[in-house]
Amino acid sequence: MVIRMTAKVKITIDYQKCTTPFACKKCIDVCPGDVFLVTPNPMMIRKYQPIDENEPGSYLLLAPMVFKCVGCMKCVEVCPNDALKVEIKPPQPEIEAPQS
Amino acid sequence: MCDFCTKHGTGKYWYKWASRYARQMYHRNRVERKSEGGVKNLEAQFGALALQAIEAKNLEPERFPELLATVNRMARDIHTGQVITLEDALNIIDLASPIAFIACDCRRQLHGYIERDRSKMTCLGLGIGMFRWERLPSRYVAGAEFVSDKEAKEWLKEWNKKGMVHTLMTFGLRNGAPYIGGLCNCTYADCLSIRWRLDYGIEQLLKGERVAVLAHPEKCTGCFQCVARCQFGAITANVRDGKPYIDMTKCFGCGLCETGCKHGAIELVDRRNFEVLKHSW
Repeated sequence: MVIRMTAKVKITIDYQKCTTPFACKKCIDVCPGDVFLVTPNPMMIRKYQPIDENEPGSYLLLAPMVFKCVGCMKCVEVCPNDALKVEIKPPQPEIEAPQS
Repeated sequence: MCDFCTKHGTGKYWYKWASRYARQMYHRNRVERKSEGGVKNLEAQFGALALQAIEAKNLEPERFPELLATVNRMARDIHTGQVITLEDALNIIDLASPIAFIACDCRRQLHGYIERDRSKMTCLGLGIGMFRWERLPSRYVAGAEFVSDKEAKEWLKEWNKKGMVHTLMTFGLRNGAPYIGGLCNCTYADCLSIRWRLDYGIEQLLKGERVAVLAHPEKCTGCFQCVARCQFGAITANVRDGKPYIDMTKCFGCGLCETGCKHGAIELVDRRNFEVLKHSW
């Protein structure tokens, strides 16, 4: 029997509000666990054309590495547009049946 | 022996073949891309899937093993790296041409940071494809600065002193052979490949061809420079004899402990000498 105790973290980003994450990157600078990624939007990549960080939608903010989130909530505080929402589900003992 | 060596190196180190860096490799790459048409999408798909797996580790742990297996299966064919030693990296500089300094893409994605100053650049673009960097200014944000072999070697040694792991990056299998396009100097702080391998077990970064061994314990003075330099947590201080303890199963064979040891106590041994380790990549 294994009892797992992990808090589940769900970070939702409102892309209507967060449009130029590369120019802003306040949440990225403040995050101690480096949860966020800013990737160039694949739809905006053009040959022979540089990507403009100030153009809305040129970069996308992602939050895949939630495994590394420590729950400091600094990203929510620091976001100028209130685009981030962090939901932390406290750990519940999950009981796994023994494998026979 | 990793499957790269058996498949593409005829039993020797797969990256020590001059033909891997030749013009033909790049053209093959282009021709196949055009004829298949879907290769680019495959790369994007792989990225999306990797992110899904990473998220699942926290949110849906029950789905994680399955996703991880899929990602690992795809990684070999799409975008892989392997840890190499300084010696091998210097050899590769001799083999590959042209060589250009480029900005790190991991650092851009992870920290939103673009190094425009050459003293901070840690990535090299290799091969004929670098001549066409202007096609993709969205990737080469800080441009590409072509340098001589000598400069590149000095620069590699400089980063080695600072404790950066050298990794060789491949971009896709072309005609059954990996296209080698980059040589990076990474640390856990910036490198997505190292992070993903250590935190999630994504085999986008393969272990190196060698492992570290404390070959001359009598030469060791117990300064523990090697402990400080190991990125992978393979070396810890051993209280019993005041010498480092090397966990060979965790060792990635980057050789930083060897180059950091002033007394020559650590040596790198080929992984294939060990019946079990030669299957662990």
